[in-house]
Amino acid sequence: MFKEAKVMFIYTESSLHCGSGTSLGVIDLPIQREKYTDYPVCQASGVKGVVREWFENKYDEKDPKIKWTFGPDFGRGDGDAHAGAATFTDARLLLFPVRSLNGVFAYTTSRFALSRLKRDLVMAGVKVDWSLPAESGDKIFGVAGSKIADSNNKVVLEEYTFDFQAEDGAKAIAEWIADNAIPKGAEYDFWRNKVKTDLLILPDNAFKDFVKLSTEVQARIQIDNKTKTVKSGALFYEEALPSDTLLYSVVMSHDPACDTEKRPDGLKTSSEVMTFLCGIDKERLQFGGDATIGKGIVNVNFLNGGAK
Amino acid sequence: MIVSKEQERAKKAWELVNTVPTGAAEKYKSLVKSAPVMILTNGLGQTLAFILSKVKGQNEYLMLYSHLQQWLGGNIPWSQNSKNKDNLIERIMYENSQINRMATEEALSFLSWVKRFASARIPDEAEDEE
Repeated sequence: MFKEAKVMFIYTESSLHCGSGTSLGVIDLPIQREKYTDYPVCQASGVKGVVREWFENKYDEKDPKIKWTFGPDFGRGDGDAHAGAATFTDARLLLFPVRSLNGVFAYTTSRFALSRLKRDLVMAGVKVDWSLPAESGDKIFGVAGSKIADSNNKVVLEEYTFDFQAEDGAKAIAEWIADNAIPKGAEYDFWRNKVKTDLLILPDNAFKDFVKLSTEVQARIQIDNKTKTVKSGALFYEEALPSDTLLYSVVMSHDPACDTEKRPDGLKTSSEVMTFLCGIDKERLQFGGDATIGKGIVNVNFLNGGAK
Repeated sequence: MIVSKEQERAKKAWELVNTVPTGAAEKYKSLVKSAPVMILTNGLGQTLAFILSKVKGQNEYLMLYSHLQQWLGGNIPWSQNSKNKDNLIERIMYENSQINRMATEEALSFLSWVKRFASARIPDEAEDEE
C-alpha cells in the first residue's frame, strides 16, 4: 500500500473533455463516466499522463527522478521494467455548476459525492469536522442568505424548481470547500466567496440527472474550403464538463522501486517523492482532448498546499 | 425469460419503424435523426410541443409523436398527477420534475434505437446528412 497520500483538487477553467471514444447514442463523443453511477470522471491514466508531461517539460525528460516516479518510458527505450513511485486515482466529481435563475449558476453537489470525498479524505489521513445533513427528500440544502434561493425559498436550476432549506451543515461544508479546495490565488476570490454562499446539496437523483443531462454538448461541423459552406456528413456532437467544475484525485507515493543507493538525490523516500510531485501545486495543467481549441485548462490545488 | 430494457426498446423501435409507409419514410428518417439532440437541447416538453405544431395529416411528425407516446406511455412510472391524461404532452405538463427527467432519459434511449433502425431500413435518397 502507499506510504503517503495527498488530495489534489482540480478546478476547470475551461470546458474539460476527457473522452471515452465514439458512441452510438445521442452524443457522438461523450465524456468518461463511472459505470455504476454515471458520474463524469477523468480516468487516472489521463491524470497521470498529463502530470508526467508537465514534469517532462519542467525538467529534462531524461531526468532519473521522472523515470523512478512515473515508471520507465519504453517508447524511448528506457530498459528494466519497474513500477513508478507515484499513484493517481481517477479524478472524481465534487462540484458541478448548473445554470440558476438567480445568481447565474450554482455549485451543486450531492450527499453521495460528499460522502465519497469524506471517505477519500480519511484514506489520505485527513480529518474533517463537517458531516452530511440528514436526507432531505426532494429539498435542496444550502447556505442561509444564498443568492440562488428566491424570497419564497425556491431554487430554479435550469428549468426545474426545488424547495430550498438553509442548513448549518451545508454552510460548514461550503466553507471547508471554499477554504481548502478552491485555488488560493487572488484571482479566485470571487469564486471562493461564491462557493461559500451558492453551494447546493441536491437530492442524489436530481444531481445524477443534472450531471447526465446538463453537460455542455457542442455541435461541431466542418467547413468545405472551396464552397465555404458546411460539409455534408461532417456534423458531430461532443460533450464536455463545463468550466467551474471541481474534481479531485488522490495522489499517493511509495519508495522508489530500487535499492536506496540507486535512488536519485531528492528521491530517496516516499516523502521525497511526494514533495517532488507537489511541484504541480498551484500550477495550471491541460487535461483531456481538444487542447488546441482551448479545452481542459485546469488549476491544480493540493489540500494544505501539499504539506502534511 | 429475463429481457433487458435495451432489448425491449429495440423490439418496439423495430416494430414501429417498419410501420412507416414508404411515402413518409425519408422525412421520418431525417426527423428521427435530429430529434434526440432537440430533446437534449430544448427539453422533452418543448420538443413534443414543436412536433405537435408540425403535425399535418399523417405526416412524419404525427408518426414520431405517436411512437414516443406508445413507448413512454407504458414504460415510465407515471404518478397520480398525470395517470388520467391520455396525451403524452399533457402528462409531461402535469408530472413532477423527477418523472419528467426519467421520461427525457427514456425518450433519448428509445430514440437511439429508432434512429438506428430508420437509418438501416429506410434507404438513402442522395448524400446522407448525418
